[in-house]
Amino acid sequence: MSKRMTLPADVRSEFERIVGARYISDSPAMLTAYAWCTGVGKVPGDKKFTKIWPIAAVLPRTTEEVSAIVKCCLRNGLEFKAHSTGYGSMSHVPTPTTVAIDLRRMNTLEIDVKNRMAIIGPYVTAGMLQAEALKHGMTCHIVGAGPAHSPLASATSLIGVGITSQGTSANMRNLLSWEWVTPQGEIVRGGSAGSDCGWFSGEGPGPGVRGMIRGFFGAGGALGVFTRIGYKLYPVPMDGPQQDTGSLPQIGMAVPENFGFYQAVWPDWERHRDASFELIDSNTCFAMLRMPPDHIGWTVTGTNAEYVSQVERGALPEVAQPCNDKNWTLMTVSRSAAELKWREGVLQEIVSRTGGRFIEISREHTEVLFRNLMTSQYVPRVMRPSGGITTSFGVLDSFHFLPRAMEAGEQSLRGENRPNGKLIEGGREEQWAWPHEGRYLWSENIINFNPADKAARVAAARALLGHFAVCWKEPVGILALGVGPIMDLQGDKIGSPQRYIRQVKKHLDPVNASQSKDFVIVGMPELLQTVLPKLKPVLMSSPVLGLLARAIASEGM
Amino acid sequence: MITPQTLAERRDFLERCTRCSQCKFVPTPKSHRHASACPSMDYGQFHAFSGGGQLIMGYGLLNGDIDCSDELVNAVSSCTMCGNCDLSCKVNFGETIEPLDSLYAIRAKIVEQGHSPDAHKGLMENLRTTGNAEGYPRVERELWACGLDLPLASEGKSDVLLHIGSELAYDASRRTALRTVLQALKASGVALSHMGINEGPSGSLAFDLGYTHDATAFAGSMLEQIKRSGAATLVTFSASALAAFRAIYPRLGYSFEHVRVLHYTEYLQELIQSKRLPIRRLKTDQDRPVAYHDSCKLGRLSEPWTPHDLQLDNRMGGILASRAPQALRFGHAGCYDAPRALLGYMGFDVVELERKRGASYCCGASGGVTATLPEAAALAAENRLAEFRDTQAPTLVSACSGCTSHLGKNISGEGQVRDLIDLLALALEPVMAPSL
Repeated sequence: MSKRMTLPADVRSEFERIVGARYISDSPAMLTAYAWCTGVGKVPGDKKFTKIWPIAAVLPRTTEEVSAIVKCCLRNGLEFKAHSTGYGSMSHVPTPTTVAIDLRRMNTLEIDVKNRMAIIGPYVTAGMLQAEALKHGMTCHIVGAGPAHSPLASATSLIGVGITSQGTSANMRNLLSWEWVTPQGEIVRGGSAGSDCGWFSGEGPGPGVRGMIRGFFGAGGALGVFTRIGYKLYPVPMDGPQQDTGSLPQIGMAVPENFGFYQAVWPDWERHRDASFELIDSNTCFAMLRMPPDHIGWTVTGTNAEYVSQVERGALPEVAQPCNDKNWTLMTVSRSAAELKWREGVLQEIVSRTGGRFIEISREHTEVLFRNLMTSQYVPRVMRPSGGITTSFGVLDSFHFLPRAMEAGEQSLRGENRPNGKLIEGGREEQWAWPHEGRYLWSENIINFNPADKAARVAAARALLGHFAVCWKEPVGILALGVGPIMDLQGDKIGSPQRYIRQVKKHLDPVNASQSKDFVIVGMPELLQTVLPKLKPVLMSSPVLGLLARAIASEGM
Repeated sequence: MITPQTLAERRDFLERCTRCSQCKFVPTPKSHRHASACPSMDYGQFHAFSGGGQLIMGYGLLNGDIDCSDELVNAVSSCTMCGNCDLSCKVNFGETIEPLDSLYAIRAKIVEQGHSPDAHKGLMENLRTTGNAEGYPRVERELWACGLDLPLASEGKSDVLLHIGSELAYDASRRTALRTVLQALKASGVALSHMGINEGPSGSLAFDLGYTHDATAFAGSMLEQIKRSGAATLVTFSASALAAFRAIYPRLGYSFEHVRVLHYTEYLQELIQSKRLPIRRLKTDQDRPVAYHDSCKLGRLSEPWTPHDLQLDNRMGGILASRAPQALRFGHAGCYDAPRALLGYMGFDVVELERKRGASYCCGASGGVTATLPEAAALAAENRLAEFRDTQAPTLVSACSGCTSHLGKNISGEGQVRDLIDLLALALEPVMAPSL
């Protein structure tokens, strides 16, 4: 049974006075959208709707309205959860007395060309922003969720890694300045915007507020509502929106003049790693992405039927063949033909010297792959096989760990993605990897499963949990997706951010009105904090993992 | 007998919505201002108004999680059934979700449960009693034919049977243009006939509103008349009828068999290309471009739907593969080129709107929205007209009389909306046409 509460009429009237009667709803039909359990990012349970539904949804237009909504919630003992485009299960409310603040109507966008940045509201999508930025010769970072996600939500509240991170960094570093409705309902501007100096700078002298409100992972909506940000843009030598090629669903993008797009492969992970260091040191590429060949196959085929047919006929293009799994997709950006030639020469020399080779890709496939990389369409596309996708909590560390990361990916899948397994059939592992700003390796194992099949959900949950077990038993660098409760289990490592975050939360939101499922456990007793990490060997043992996986597959995450 | 899938039969497709929101946006936005694919979402703002939102509500309704409330019906009724979400979804989800078929099924479920809005009931009553949604007298349906000396289909076999459609048949302001075009066709030697006052509803609107049984009856009656006429070619002046003939009738189990079905723009293009019909370049005051609005019905929704196995096979550990991938519709085979070609013959430079062809933004005229939620229909028109104004072209042309009429009612300030048939009448008229 789902838990639904009824919004008292007098409280509803208050909300109506704030946003207008048309923009508040407690109708179950309208609330379905905030309780849909998708199978994106997390493993869903038996039911398509979550057990807990919001008590109401409100759609404010302005920051002042958001502030008034938050204060109204506090006055009436309600909690609140901000919600932008709502991809995946990240927007679910944790309590039945939570109001979903849907920021759909707040979508202002301004490009500050001089300062190479955008000032955006929560419902500006990455696709919209990129289209506008390209008119000024700039692009933006787009996280894995793809063009329909909200850059503001990512930059303020949830991780923010993405496949072009070599050239467009990641959103913990792309957030410049912010307008924030605190959990108390106060409107605060931070960064240079807080001094009315414009929106161009994240921090002045003094403690890092950006670190406090989002840190690396982000509070997942548990520290108030962000209503406007300054967001970093990156120059690229393009002077207009993308030029479409091909036709739906295989829409491509013409590779602009002086851009380079290549696919290189190596015979083993050690040589792949050697090349990676050199490629990064040479600073040749704007984007470097390693995708499993099966995911490339899903991208260069227009339908699942076409993919399956090509597999069965042995007709997959070379770029998508399983043997070419030790790969890099490389994108270079140059300002002249001479620079393009130089970059190409550097790539050829590195690839050749490290024992790699380039793969020929047809023009059609090049344009489709280029578009998917440039606009980060890859993740939505790799949802196509079954609609179910989750990800291991990845590796964030030196490229020294790359071969071991691949091995860990394979271990955690336990062969379930091989023929007759319970997951979608694929390669040895399903690791996506890329560098961040030429520094460190990001990798995550993308686990595709059929969410309608309980056995598949169990296998997916087992693989997800198993990745922790593998990584904790024999470390593969820093656990990158350190969502709150996981960090508590990990214990006092890498600076114990969970302890710091809890203090911030308690100070800013003593009544825990700003709710999120993707946050540290606010009321964690000290004793439990100490004991929990010690339970890791038990919790991560095979029988317990099996039990946990089955529980997740029934109840969802 | 083929029948459209019910909501229960669409359960698996509904379940697969990932709530990615891609259905709200065109596949490749060119601007912040015109990124939307969904007039209903632009009006209602709550996610429930989007294609994906409707799928989620549909699942809730089917599963008993929610009731068929006024709010649900209101959100569903604000949808113009334009199908843009269907194509946006397919960019990444291919055959696995196909929203449009589920949207049809949701409307049918609402009707089945007796929750159809009063405005829809009124439209249906008009269709049943007068043969047109507006309730105009049936006897006036053939006023357009006065003086043309065209035989009725019942009077003998012709090469081409004309289907006019109620929008144009009752529109006195376009009657002269229609006659001029038909006179030109006659002069080219084509033997034409028409259905007169017996031309009934195509079933397009009834199907959009969820009245599947009525749509089936209307389609059956229409098809019987067409086949009885013996004409080898059916030429329709109605974009919504074309969409019904090509994509709804097959869903209802009807086939035109050997009868060719063409939109009048396609037929004129054929005749002009084969030199059977002369067309004149229009002399204009100056070289003025025209912007072209792709109607949903004439465009993506007229892409043929062919009967096929709708099931997906579970392959390779859970990959959901269509059993009939060749039958999937991606909006490629709509009627996009013929109207543009005709504008080209007349000497116009066609300026493309940002959202064009398969990704065209609906003007709000269809799906019964003008009757149930006129403010939603008006907002869609305003959005489309804003896109038109951004082109700087002085004229917006459409080949769908429903779109032209709706956009024309909502335009104010600079710019004008013209129906392609009005321009064609100038270019096909035997005397020198006045400047545009």
